[in-house]
Amino acid sequence: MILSFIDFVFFFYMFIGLYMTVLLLMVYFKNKSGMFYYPHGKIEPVSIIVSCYNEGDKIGRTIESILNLDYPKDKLEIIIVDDKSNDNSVEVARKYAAKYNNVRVIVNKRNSGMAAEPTNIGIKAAMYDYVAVADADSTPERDALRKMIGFLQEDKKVGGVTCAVLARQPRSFIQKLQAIEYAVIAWSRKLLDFVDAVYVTPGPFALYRKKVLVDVGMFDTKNMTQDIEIVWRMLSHGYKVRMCLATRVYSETPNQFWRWFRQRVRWNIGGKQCIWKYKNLFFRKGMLGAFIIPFFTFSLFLGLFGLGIFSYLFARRFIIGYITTKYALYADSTLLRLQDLTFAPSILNFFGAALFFLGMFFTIFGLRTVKLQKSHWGNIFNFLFYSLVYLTIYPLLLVVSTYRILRGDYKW
Amino acid sequence: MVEYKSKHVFWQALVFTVIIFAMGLILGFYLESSRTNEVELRLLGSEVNLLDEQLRGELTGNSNLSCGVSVQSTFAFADKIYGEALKLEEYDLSSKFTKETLLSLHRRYDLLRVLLWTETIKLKDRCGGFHTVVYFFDYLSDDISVKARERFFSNLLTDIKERNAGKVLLIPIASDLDLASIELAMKSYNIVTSPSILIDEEKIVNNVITIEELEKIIFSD
Repeated sequence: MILSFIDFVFFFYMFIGLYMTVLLLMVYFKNKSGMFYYPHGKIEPVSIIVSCYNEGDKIGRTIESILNLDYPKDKLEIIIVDDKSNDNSVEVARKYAAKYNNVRVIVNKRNSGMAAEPTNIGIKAAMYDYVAVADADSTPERDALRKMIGFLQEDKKVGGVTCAVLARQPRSFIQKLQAIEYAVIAWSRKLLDFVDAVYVTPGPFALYRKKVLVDVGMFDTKNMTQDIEIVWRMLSHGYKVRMCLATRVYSETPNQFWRWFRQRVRWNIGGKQCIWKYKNLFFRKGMLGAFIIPFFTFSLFLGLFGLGIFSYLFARRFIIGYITTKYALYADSTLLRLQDLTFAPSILNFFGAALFFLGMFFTIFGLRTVKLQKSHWGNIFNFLFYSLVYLTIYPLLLVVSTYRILRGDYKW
Repeated sequence: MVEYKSKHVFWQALVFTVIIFAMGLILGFYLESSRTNEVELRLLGSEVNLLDEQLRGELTGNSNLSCGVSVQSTFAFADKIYGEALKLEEYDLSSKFTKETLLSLHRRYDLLRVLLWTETIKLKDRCGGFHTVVYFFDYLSDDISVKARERFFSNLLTDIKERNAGKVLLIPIASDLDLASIELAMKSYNIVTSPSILIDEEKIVNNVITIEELEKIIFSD
């Protein structure tokens, strides 16, 4: 029995895929009862920082949703930090500042081009010990702060808390696919929480202990995914990060493919920047070095390598098909026979099918757990498209982001 | 504080995955073995058929046999082992654990076809009325241009066979399975490259030609 190199690679991928799915499912079944747990914390003052750039049409809604939080208004401070917008964002924000005395507006002296710098300005200006960071286009649920703050109070080692980020009113096809993805990610992130491996506090809404942020040096202004980097830094300093699935924040998602693609490339670049920055912590510093960094690195390697193998096989088939077609057209012979289409499924095909169905089961489970409304993800076609096509675009993102890194292109 | 029950989950998941994976591999091995057995059984049947034909010829004396019956049974036999070889190829393409066994079955099929070819030459001398087209190809080659030419020739020859049913006997033989008899045959008929087509043990075609051109070569005396 001698497996070819390609067969071996396929078996290896199957094994890794199976292991990750089994791992997450086992975590779920072991912690099923604690999925929506949150410690009932006491009300303490919180500063909410909203960094904004050209969000004139959305910033008002975001401020209102924050003002509408089920939290005493005298315990809330809202700091809007504008990154030198070109639109009427500052004007809109100032109207709210004039109306509510707990709303402040700070305008950055320059356009930094990323979210980290305005957020850091907000952190410095914050009056309270707890700091929440929100995107200018996100809408947290009313109970968000109440349900999240207890995680920070319960354990002094916890430096940050994230919640379920879901797509806000998905309308277009690409938004519905993202709605499925966000729900599955929220569920998996909660599962990772059970193994102390939350690796990001997404920008739409996260709560931190201000002292911890200041201790670790606040957000990295050079990283394109400052919300991933800050978590890795907190973890590397011995802090923990928690995930609260009991509450949600709704975030705007790109409504066009190219916008989505650009956003994902940016996330990818940021992830790679993190790997590079923390490469020395491989297999050190608890779960960061034992799981998160190897997981990121391994995913990157497997994605690129898998794409390479796929491209090789595809190109080979294409060339053979092209030459055969050319000959067949010249000879006026048959191009394709029924026997060319019949095949005996191999063990790899069976493994692939089993893994695919397990993945579908995982996704369905995630959607059910998060209770994503059907109107958000649409129909079975969207679900199948998500499982069969959407996820397969990821390796392409890896290539584009690698190319941009090699070119030194770190545009937002 | 909620109690996190995931302390040992990493190695537990690993053990569980190894068990599931091993079960999958065992099932896969069982599936492939049963396919190999199926091919082997068919091959045995075909070998018996051929031996039976040969012995019948020997016992009754060739001249007493009707040419029509002999030619018809030879074509039917060639079709039978052609179909079986296709099945074998299908299984071989998908096999991961039984490649070596399937390769040895392939070699036996090729020997069977060489035997059929030698029988056919005798039959053609005695009865005539049909043409033999022996197709030599590289079974193990990974070369893209060789694979493309082979796929083209395979389709072209199947077209010829279908268009001239009962007149053209197609015998595909793998030339790279390290079989002395095949190497000798190729040498004696001056076949130096694969894929090549040997028509009536005389004419050799190894360039890309049209279906009409090939028909002309086959049917020209």
